Amino acid sequence: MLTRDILKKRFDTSLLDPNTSDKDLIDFIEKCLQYEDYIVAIAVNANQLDIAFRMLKNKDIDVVATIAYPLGTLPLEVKVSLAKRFADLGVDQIDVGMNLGAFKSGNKDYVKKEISEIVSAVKGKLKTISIIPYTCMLTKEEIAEIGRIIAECGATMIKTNPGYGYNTRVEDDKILKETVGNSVKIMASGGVRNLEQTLAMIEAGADRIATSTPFQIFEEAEKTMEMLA
Amino acid sequence: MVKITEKELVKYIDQTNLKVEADEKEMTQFIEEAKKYEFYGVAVMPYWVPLASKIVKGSKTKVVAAVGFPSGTMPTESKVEETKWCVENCSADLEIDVVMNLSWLRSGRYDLVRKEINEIVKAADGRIVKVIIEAPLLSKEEIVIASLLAEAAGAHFVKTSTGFKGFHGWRPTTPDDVRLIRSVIGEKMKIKAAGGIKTTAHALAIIEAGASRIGTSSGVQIVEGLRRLREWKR
Repeated sequence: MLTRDILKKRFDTSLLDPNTSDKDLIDFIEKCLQYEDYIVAIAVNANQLDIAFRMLKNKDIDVVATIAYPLGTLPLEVKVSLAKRFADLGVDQIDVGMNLGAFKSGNKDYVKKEISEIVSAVKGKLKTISIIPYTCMLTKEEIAEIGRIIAECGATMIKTNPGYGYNTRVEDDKILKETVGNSVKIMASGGVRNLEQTLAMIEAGADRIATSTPFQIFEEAEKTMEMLA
Repeated sequence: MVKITEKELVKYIDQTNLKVEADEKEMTQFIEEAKKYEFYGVAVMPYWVPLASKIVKGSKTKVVAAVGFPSGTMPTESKVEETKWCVENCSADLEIDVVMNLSWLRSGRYDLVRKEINEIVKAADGRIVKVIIEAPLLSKEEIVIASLLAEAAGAHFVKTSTGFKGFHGWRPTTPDDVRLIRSVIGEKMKIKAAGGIKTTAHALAIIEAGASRIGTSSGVQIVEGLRRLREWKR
């Protein structure tokens, strides 16, 4: 039977609209705090990290900053500097858009170098280093290959897609789970908007779910659980 | 009324490909095509600036680097580093299209918005800087404030939108957006209209409204469309 335990501390959420005012973010985090049981981490715009730090101090929710998000085609030097900056500021987690263009061009060495340099720049300072490979743009073989690369390079989580139309297929989570096992956590991300999709992702092997519509999923889950005989 | 030929129209266009999944083969073909058409610029993400520079060097086409794309909310230092990296890794003519920090704008932190743009103008070291205000996400009053801030900070263009459709509330840029911005900025300040401009008629209406440049991934269709319209028989 579906219980709260299955959904406990499963969800990453975010308020990354570029026009998010300070008030918008404060209201959003206040609402998230009502669902501390479910939410693991919240990603915010870099200029608003101080608000997140202040509101989530002494709370069991991690603060996330994004790098090369949602477009990973930035020089690796820029990504590494930003990772160091965020680690110094005290974030718990970074979500980094991988250089998909380099990967698709067959430049695997560049991708490995990029991920390894980011990891070594912040290792020990962050709880979670999450890399986004854009699984929706990859073949099955490519998903397995990039899963192995991300694990070998020492990142701690694979966030499948950034959202914004880059959506995860259930199959993507399965391939990643079969490839990396428990060596790296899997965050299903992109297009997860309801309870049914959430549970399908968890069944396929996702450790975490990222969603920008968390409250609607939580409300749906609570209503549904109440009615299970 | 402006009268225009294909040869004149290409000078308005920054042909754009910011697709994260584009590989080197696709980017090479895309940049070669922009050079062949003699578009004013070819707009790419920073990682592809060295490739674009190599291909267009010595031609009429300039490299346009998309900085702070698409959210614009990363730290100022990071946008400055992106800008400097593009300057150092581009031996062709280069322009910088940078996204304004709208989160600051909407929180009333105009001082920070202006200071950031000014630092990017300095890092661009004399090159043209266009500031993207993402007009689709702003009220009319905010469009006016954003445009005036870009001008006050020493940028050369106000650019209407990133064209990134994922943002809540995104819509194509309209001639009215261009007219509104034109009505508040000085004569020397120019406008680049971008975002959802895909047809010849839309491009011509945008130019008529006062834009000096158009950012589009459909430059070829727009120019070929003009040719068809000018050569239309019966």
